[in-house]
Amino acid sequence: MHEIGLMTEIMSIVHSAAKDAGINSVEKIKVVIGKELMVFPDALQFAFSCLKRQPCTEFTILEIESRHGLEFYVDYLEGD
Amino acid sequence: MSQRINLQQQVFQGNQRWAEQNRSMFQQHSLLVVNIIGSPGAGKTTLLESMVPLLQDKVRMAVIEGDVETTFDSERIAACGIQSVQINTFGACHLDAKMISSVAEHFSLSALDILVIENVGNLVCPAEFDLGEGIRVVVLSTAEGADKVRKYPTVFQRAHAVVLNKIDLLPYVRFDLEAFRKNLLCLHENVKLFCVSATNSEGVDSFCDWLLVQQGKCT
Repeated sequence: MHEIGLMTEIMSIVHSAAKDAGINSVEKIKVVIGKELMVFPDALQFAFSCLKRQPCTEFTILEIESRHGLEFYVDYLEGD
Repeated sequence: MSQRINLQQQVFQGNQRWAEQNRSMFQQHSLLVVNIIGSPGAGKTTLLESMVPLLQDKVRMAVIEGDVETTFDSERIAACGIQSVQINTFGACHLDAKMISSVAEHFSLSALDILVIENVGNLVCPAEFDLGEGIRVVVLSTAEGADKVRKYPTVFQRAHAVVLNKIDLLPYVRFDLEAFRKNLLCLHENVKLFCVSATNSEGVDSFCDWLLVQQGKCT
């Protein structure tokens, strides 16, 4: 499934950033998706539900913002 | 205490790093790498089979085949006397740059002029993944319909050339060739269009001639 591969990359970015910042528990991830990219937010949420079951992200919520264009990036993460 | 870490990090950044690495490696060897994208059944492999007799005496060619499963297509290319390496994604709907990097060692790149990558059959996802190629070609067949340019604009916008295959079926399918040309050029005015029949090789020579010109620019 396409979104599983994309979400794997997002989780890699998040885990790396959390480790660098000394964050042990990620509370929120914010992702921006361009509508022209054909990445479906619902499918990405489903992929996230499959991949989040790790100590750092077990209770994390994923917020997705859809915008016009082709952007696709991890905007920020929050945690402590 | 909760803190916010601002990232603004592109999700495709990881693939893009691999792609740039691939591109640099291919350029060092003056190698033209062609990423062929198209739906399952568009005729990508048959096109490659028809290209081999037209190119094999002029350039040194090899192929990377991408499929979810099986080695069917790699075997077909190998039967033409061309080195072919199969990548099976076992579920992924596209090849990515890291996959290409992982099989590059199977080729003697300095002994090649053209490396063709036949991507997994799909008009959507491969468009987003730079493999480090020099040119990108989309193969569409007349049996798929002329509306695909408007339905899947991204893949056509990012193509250097479009090969319209199965033109021998034009008398039997509802494909508005003029509307297709018009839609394509409206979307991407610089794209090259080649109308071919891979099964009887009609028009394939023009596409091969264009590839040879592109390969000449790499040296």
